Amino acid sequence: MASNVPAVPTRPRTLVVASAFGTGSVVMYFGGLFALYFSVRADAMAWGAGWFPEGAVQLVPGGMNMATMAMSVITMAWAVHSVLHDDRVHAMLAMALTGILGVAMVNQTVFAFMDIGLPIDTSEAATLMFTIVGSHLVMVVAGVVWLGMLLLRTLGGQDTRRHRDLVSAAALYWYASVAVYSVIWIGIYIAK
Amino acid sequence: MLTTGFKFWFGFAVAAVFAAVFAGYTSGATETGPISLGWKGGVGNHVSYTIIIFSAGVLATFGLVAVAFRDGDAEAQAEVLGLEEAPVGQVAVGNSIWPIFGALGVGAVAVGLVVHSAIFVLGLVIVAAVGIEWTMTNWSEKVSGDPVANAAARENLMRPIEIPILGTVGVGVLVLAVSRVLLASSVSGAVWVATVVGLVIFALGVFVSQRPQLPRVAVRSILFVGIVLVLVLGIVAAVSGEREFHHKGGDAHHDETPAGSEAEMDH
Amino acid sequence: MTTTDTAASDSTTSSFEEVVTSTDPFVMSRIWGFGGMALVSLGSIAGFLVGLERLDLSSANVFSSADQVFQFWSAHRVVMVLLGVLPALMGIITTVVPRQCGGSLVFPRAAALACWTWVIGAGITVVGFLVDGGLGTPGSGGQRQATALTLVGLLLVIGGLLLVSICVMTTIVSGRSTGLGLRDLPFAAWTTLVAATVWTAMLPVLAANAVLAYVDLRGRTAVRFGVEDAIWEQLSWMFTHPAVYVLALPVLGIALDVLSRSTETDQRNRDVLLVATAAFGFLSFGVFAQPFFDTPGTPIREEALSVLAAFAIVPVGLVVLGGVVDTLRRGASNLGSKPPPEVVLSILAVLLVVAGTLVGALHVIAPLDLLDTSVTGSQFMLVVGATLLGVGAGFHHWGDEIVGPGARPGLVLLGGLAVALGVALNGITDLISGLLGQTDFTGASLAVAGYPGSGVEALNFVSVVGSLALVGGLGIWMVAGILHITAAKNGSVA
Repeated sequence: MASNVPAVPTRPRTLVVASAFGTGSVVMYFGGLFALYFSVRADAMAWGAGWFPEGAVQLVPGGMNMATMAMSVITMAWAVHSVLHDDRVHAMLAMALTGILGVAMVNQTVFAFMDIGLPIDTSEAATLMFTIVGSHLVMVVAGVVWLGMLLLRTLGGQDTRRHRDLVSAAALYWYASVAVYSVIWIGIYIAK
Repeated sequence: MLTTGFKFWFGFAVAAVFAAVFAGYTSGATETGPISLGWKGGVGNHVSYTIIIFSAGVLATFGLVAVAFRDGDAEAQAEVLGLEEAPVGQVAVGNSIWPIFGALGVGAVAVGLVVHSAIFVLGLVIVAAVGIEWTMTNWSEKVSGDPVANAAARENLMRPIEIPILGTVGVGVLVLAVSRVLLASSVSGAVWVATVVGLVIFALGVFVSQRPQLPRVAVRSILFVGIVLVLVLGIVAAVSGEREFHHKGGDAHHDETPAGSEAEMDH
Repeated sequence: MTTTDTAASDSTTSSFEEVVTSTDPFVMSRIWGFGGMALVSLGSIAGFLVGLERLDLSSANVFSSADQVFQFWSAHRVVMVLLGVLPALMGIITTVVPRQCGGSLVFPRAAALACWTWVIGAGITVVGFLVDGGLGTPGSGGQRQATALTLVGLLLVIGGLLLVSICVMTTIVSGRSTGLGLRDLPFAAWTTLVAATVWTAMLPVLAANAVLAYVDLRGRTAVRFGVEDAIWEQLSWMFTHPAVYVLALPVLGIALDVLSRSTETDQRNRDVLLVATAAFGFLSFGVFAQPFFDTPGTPIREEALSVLAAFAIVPVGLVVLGGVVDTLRRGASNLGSKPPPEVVLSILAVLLVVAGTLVGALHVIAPLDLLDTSVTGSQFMLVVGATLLGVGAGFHHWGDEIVGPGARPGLVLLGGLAVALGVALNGITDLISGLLGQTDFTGASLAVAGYPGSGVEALNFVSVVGSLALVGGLGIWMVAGILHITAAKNGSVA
């Protein structure tokens, strides 16, 4: 049933503001975990105890994931740009690509976890690492689901410009997930 | 011009950076650790330093968002829309079942984490379903300015998906629950249960059909109570387990049956 | 004008359906308010029982073991803050603040989701405590699965509180009416913005602590974070100085607004008060002070930043008190001979906040060695009690807007005075007991209680009387609230 009554305009940016606050909370969650990780690690180092067993944490999976996430920053920016310029097809393509890169990152991480040979209850280091990387997986999965919902709405066929705030809000969250991963990459995979 | 929100959040962020550096140098930091994010030297108490630095980053972002959007002032929002006056911040939305179901889904996920993976998966399914429904409800609200047309647009899109899925899930759950009850009863007991339940459903159906003036809320309540009853009985029966089965013929199960057993033979 | 999932005024829906499907902030406010206050009462009863146990420290009398005492003792703090006072505050914030901003709460469905998530989480948490779980036990005598249940319940509670905080913050930033800048906000809205900023930064870290404990607790033997006697210590920072101050922050705003409106007098030096309340929020960002992760030999609460924050917040609190006194001095003549209950409760709330900051400063003076003594409990009670009084004042002041006409000022004042008396008795006696060497958690033996000096028995008895007064006051408030809602309902029907 179609109606000629135009939709009531809503205030712009409200969703982006909410997303900024929500994403800030998520980042603080990781801030808390990193704080505990670095603290316990520093104590272990100070006492001369080892952290991860030699060779247990490989740089390659972490590096591949970082590269994947870095690429997703570009595709996400492409989605934002396309929506701003009312380019529906490219916006959908870019969002789909970002989601696929997210799924790829999840796939790589799960594979690395299966292969790592370091059970979660081996040590404080393993428990902390699994908690941080696992939490980040949840963050990425949530981002992928969010993008999926956006695609669903975009497929609904409304004016693409209406999705500016939605895509910008999702982009903010996605960039934060990449930023968090960069700390994981440096703090866990590189510094070990 | 710097907005009040920017001054507030960015001021917090700057104060947090100073607090982090102060915390670092007064808790055993070395060299330039606290001012170089630990690049050169120690940062002191890692918990204090890391958390405060993260909060500084988050607060600075809030500040930037505030200044970019002019504190979200109504005038700035009206300007973006090209209107004389900004629309109201939030229009009234009617009742919705998605929040309560969403919370139940999240609750099931949480309880499932501790109790049983099946509950966890059920929770995830509920959350996913609520997510899709919620999204489509929001989508439909932007279709036009006519709530009736919007509701129709939503129904046109979602009903063909919802009804078959809900029907299948509903029938599946009821069949599963009733079958658990029948399997937990004795052979003759199962016959009695099936007969009585069938008769009760039939009688209720006749009762409702004879009273077209019966309020919808009463019909809903009868259905709700009935479903809850079947589910509870099904769960109880599933927990108590099936009755003992013995198969005719010379299969492995038959071999395991103790000689001279007087257990009932089930067909 | 928007589409509705179901028609709000559908005559075929039952009142139960109306409530559970409502997205009206005013309906949600009653759930937050009544649920929070009911759980505050539950927490107070737990505190009362622990107080009874403290009367005779030679053996376990009320509880069967020290582990059980610990479960109730920790339940008292957790329930009071996360399940009680903070949600009750949300009841005011979600309704009053959007009005002060000239609109209504944005994302009402998300706010409803937050409310129900909190309800379910609170239920799970309480069940977790009751089935021998809680946040671990010193003697490892608890049930691991029940402890895990408490932790996931707590995570849901945190999630609900965070989500509603984000809705409120977004309303303040993006839902203001034309011409209302952030600087022009009434104090309740301003302090809510500051407090919500701190909550969104602090609660996720508490969630991180809980997740880490949960992950380690599940499966095989815990490595460190999920060990039974370590869980509480990781989460305890939320329930003590300085994090606990953030509870009181919106109460300062409520008090300033209530006094301004009741005395019909604008605050002088408004900008000073805006900065002071913001500074109060900054100084209550206590997430950095996590004693479980102390570097050996240097307790975080005795490190320079903690000590500085503890002392700096005292003058900030005094500045706000000065604002309150100044407003009262100039507008007292407008109050008449009988000041309204919300004015009395607001003044008491601000006084208790300042008292709490003073005790907090005393607490960190290293030579006094008070960190593990019941001075911690004293400060907790003073600040939480101040928040309770502020919530009571707020609900009464804006009650007609939230619920409708029919408030019971006499009952509200009586309940409030009983709460204030209870909090004061608890706070003062615990302070003196702490100075005499009584530990914060006394367990059920003199050894755990730190062999305190003579006189603590009498002080503990007075403290129990205070707990009783607190429970009584809360009961009176609940009755006043029910009568108010009934009267409003009858009024609207008539």
